[in-house]
Formats: sequence, C-alpha cells, structure tokens
Amino acid sequence: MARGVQVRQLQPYLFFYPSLLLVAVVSFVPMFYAVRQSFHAADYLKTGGFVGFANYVELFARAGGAGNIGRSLAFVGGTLALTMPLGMGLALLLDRPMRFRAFFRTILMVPWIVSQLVTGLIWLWLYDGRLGPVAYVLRQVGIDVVGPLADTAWAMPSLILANTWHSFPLVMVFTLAALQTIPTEVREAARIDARSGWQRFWHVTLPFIRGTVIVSLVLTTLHTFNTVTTVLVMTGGGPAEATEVLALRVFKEGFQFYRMEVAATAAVCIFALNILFSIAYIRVLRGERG
Amino acid sequence: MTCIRPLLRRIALAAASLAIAASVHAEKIELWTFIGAGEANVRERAMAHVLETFKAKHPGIEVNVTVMPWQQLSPTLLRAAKAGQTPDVAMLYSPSMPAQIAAGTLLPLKRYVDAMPDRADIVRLPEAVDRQGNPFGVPWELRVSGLGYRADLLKAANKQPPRTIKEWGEIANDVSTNDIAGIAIGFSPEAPSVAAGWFLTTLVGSGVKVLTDDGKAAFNTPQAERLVQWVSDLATKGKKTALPLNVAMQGLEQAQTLFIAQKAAFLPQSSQRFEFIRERSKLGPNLKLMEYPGWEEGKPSPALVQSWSLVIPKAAKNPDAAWKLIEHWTSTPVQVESAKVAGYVPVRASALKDPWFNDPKAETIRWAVDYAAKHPLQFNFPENTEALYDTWAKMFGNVLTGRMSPKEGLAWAEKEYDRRGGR
Repeated sequence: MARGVQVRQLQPYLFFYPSLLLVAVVSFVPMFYAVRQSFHAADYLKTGGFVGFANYVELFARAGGAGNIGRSLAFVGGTLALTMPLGMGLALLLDRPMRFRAFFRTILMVPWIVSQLVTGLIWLWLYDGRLGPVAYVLRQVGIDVVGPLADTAWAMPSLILANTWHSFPLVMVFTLAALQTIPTEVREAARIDARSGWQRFWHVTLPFIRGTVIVSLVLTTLHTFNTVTTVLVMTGGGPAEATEVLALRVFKEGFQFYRMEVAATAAVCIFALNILFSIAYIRVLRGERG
Repeated sequence: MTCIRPLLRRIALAAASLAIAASVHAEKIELWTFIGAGEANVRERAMAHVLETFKAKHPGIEVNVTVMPWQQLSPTLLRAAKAGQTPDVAMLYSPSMPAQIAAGTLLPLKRYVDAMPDRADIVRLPEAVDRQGNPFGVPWELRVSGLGYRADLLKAANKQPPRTIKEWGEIANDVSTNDIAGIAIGFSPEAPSVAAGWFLTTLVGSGVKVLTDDGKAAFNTPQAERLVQWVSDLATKGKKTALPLNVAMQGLEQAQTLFIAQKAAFLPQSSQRFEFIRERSKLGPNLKLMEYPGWEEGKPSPALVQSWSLVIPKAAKNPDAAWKLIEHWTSTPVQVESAKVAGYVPVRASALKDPWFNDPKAETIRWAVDYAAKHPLQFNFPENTEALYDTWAKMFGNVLTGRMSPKEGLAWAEKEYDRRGGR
C-alpha cells in the first residue's frame, strides 16, 4: 500500500524529468552558450577572451542594433495588430452554424501549413512590380507601380501582410477551440441579456477565451520575433535596410559573415525581448484573473 | 572425388576470408556535395559518371555521399570542424574558401598537388590559396560571369552590342519599354552576388584596387563614384526603363526570371546559367554572350572566374583516399565528360583539346574560357566576400532609394566595411 503511494507520488516526476532533460540539452545549453559567447570575443567558431559588454556596445553604438530592434518591434506589432483581430474574427465566424464550415476551416488553415520559404516566394511573386499579378492588373488600368518591396516606406508593411497571412490560422484555431468550450446555457443567456453582438463578445465570450487568446498572442509574438526565412527570401533586409529585423541580423552575422560574437549578442537580445513580452502578457492575464 | 571436396571447401573458405578481409579493409570516404548522383538532370548525371568511374578505378574505396543545399555547405563545414565531425571531401564555393582557410578548417593540399606530374594543367584560383601559396582546394568546374543580351532586340533597334559602359546604358535605354527592362540586374541584399561581382570587376577594370593589402576598403574613388552614378542615373533619370527600380532592388533570381520571361534586354550572369536560360527562355541563338564592357572601347572589364572546389577538411579520417577522388574528378577524361554531359567549364587546359569543344554545344564554354584567358581578374579576395558584397548591396539600396548620393554611399560603405573588419 505504502509502495503504491510512493510510486504514485513519483509518477509525475518520472514523466517530467526526461522531457526537462531533453529541453535542457536542446534549448538551455545553446542558450547559455549564446549568452556566454556574447560576453567573449570570437574568431569564427573559436571563443576568445572575456570582453564584458563590448559586443553589446558595438552592436548598439556602431552596428545598428537599435535600428534592428526597432524594425523587429514594428514587424511584431504590425503582425499582431492584423493577425489577432483577423484570426479571432474568423474564429467567431466559423463558430456559427453555416454551410461548408468544415471546408472553410480546412482552407483557412492552409497558410499555416505552408512553410515560411513558400510563403516568402508566393508573396514575392505577388508583389513583383514587373511580373506579379497585382502590378499586371494595375498596369492594365493605367497605374504603373514600382512594387512595394522596392520602396522603403512600403517594404515593411508588405512583409507584415505576408507574415499575417502565414500567422492568422494559429490564432483562428486556438480561438475556435476556446469558443467551443463556452457552455451552451451561457451562450443562450448572453443572447437574451446582451443588447448587441459586441456586448455579448466583450462581456461573455472574451472572458471565457481570454487565456487562449493570450497564449496565441504569446506564440505569434515569439514566432514573429524569430522569423528569418520570409524576410530573407522577400527582401534580404532591403531596400536600404528597411526590413533588416534582428532575427535576420542573427542569421546573416552567424551564417554568412561568421561573426559569432555579434550573432550571439543579437540572439540574446531577441531572447530578452521574447521573455519581456511573454512576462507582460502573462501579467495582464493574471492581473485580470486576480 | 572424395579427395577434391576438402580442397574445394578450403578454397571456398579462403575466398570467403579474403572477401571479408577486403570488405573490412575497404576504405570509406564521406563526400559533402550539393549535387547528388542520379538521372533527374544533367548535373546529377555528370555526378553519377564521376562516382561510377571512380568506383571502377578504385574498387577498394567506397564513397558515401551526403547532399545538402549549396548555401549550407560552408557554414555546416565550419560547425562540423568545431565538432570534429567533418567529411573527407567537401565541395566549397570559391568565395567561401578564404573564410574556411582563415578559420583553419581545411587541410593544406601542397603535398598532394606537388606530387601531381601535370599540376600546371589545372586552373589555380587565388581564393583557394593562402598568402604563403599553399593550396587548400582544387576546382572541379569553373564559371565565368559575363553579359547576356537579346540579339533580336538589338537588331530590331538597329544596334550593335555595346563596346563601352556608356554605350551599354544608351542601348539599354533605347531598347527598353514599359514592358521590357533594359538591364536585368538586382542589387538586393537577398542575393547580390551577380550585381556585386559585376561592380567588382568593373572597378578593378577601371584601375581601382578595391581593398588594400591589409584588407581595408579602398573603393571610394572617382571611378567608383562614376559607376554608382551611372547605375543611379539608369534607374532614376530619363525613361527609367533602362534599369527599372523594381528590377534593381531585387535579387539575382528575379532578374534572371525577368530575362527568361523575355522581359529584359541585358542580363549579367554566370556562364553556367546561360545554357539553362537559353533552354527555358526559348531564346535559342537570340541569346548572345559578351564580355562586361569597360569605360574604354577595346578594354572590357576583367572576367570574374569562380568555381566549386573540392577540399579536404583537417579532421578528415581518410585524406589519402579523399585525394584520390579529387585527382579522379579533376582528371582530363572526367572533365571532358562533365563538360559534355552538364556543360561544365573544364578546369584542365588539356581537356579543351578534345574535338567535342569545337561543337556548337560547347559555344558557352569556349566563350567563358576565351574571356577568362584574355582578361583575367587580378584581385585578392577578402576573407569574406559576402561581407563586401552585402555592404555594396546596402550602399546601392541607399543610393537607389535616394537616401544617399553616390559619393555619400561610397564613403558610408568604406566606413561600414572597415567597421566590420572585413567580415
């Protein structure tokens, strides 16, 4: 009897520790390595002497790191501003009884299944100022466009739109799943009590799905901060560095220019931003629950 | 009969033991490449020929092939060297060679190369050699950058191929329309190698040293300013169709696609791509190649020759067997066959004596060899060419979007390149 209790008490740890070990090996070790590298000089893959904050000073004072962070924040902010309402709105629509609902649910998931590389190539073609369909249609009606990716003012919004297309299904699926947990009697009561659809959403639906929305917000934030491929394929950071986000900088410094110390420093900054945003979201969630 | 049976059994046992011993002692080498052996395309067929003929020549050496995207070869090799898990032979693109040499990942091949009786027959690229003259790689193919143009468009406009850069701009302007771009060249940092390579050879051709002996930037010169101004004028002045902004801000793949779609008159590109473009675009004989024009008539810009080389990493387990593969791959018969099958420019002068090279199919190869021989590029490539090209791509971005003048752009690029320490 006592042994049975002991085994039952140990059971969670037996399940938990192998996963923790795996996460430690594949995530924490490289993370600590990156943090350590950011405080050391480097010669290709050889770690040099301790340099304190010199790599951070170099990145921010001379190497345009602040600009990279600003562009990353714009990329993340813009993506969230479009993705969250779009994903939630579509989830609310798909939650209603309608014909071909399963078909629409499947179709709307496609952008999430498509890889970042393909997403980049599709939108690159759409935006192409000479061979793209948008430019073609506009030319037919007498409007000659240069193409948004060649314009410093339009390149970032164009990237945000492409990334939104790729990201909204995650928010949609999460929200849809959460909507389906709202009890039928609550929905019916809300339908009777609330004056408008907006009131129903704000006072009844949102409190039920808030936790899930925050989770999808965190995931979309992390995913966008870390996005490299779409940006690399579509603009490579151009024109005139208008789309050179921090994640792209990490990739280029690490894998094209072999400046591991700069790549590690920028990677630590992305990690810090991810942590900051996640903590902020969780605090909002906890605060509202409290 | 009864006496023979034990004897036969012994012979069979001995043969089996020998076979087992042979398989135990069979040398294995690991090859990292971006082309697998197969039948899907001409490159795969050429690769299959190399490996099959090597196997026939060296049955005791087994080649294990790992295929990865070409962009991944250099960074993966660097990481593998750190982990001590390198292959025995790897392909490296020539611009990546100086970085690998500086990082100390490659085995010097002097011992092997010096032992080759016909070593002078093989092309030696400066990027594959360190400052002391030690070779670290042997090219197995060559590519020469040049200017492709639409002969039909020029003929329709009653124009001859340009003899100078100035003429090139004028012709590009004349033949271009809203639908057809004059020059398809892309300066996007996404893939600037062709545009930056053209910029490099034209600078060197106009007497600019580009980098000092200790690797510092030295390209902020009046010649460079004139060239950047020329690009800027094509994109922003006059009809604006000679080099449309939406073409100049793209990468090399989009520029090539535009040419394939028959929407451009001129395309700077690498020789190995022109056969593919000819086939895809259905331009056939209307696609012609020429040297990059210089500022003066009769003085074209020097030829930018690049290659995929075979290297042996320092941590290779079987360097001697790896060298045998390199020797075989770069041998005259294999080079001739690779040219016939896949249109590769041979790395051996003796290979070009084969009568096949007089065939019309070898036109691009003959053009590439001729250009490279007559106008060789004299330039010491830096440790990281990509850093130089990236800096230039950003500079062109700043100039073409009107953020900087050519003079300001060049001054910024010099400062930026030096700040990065050449990397």
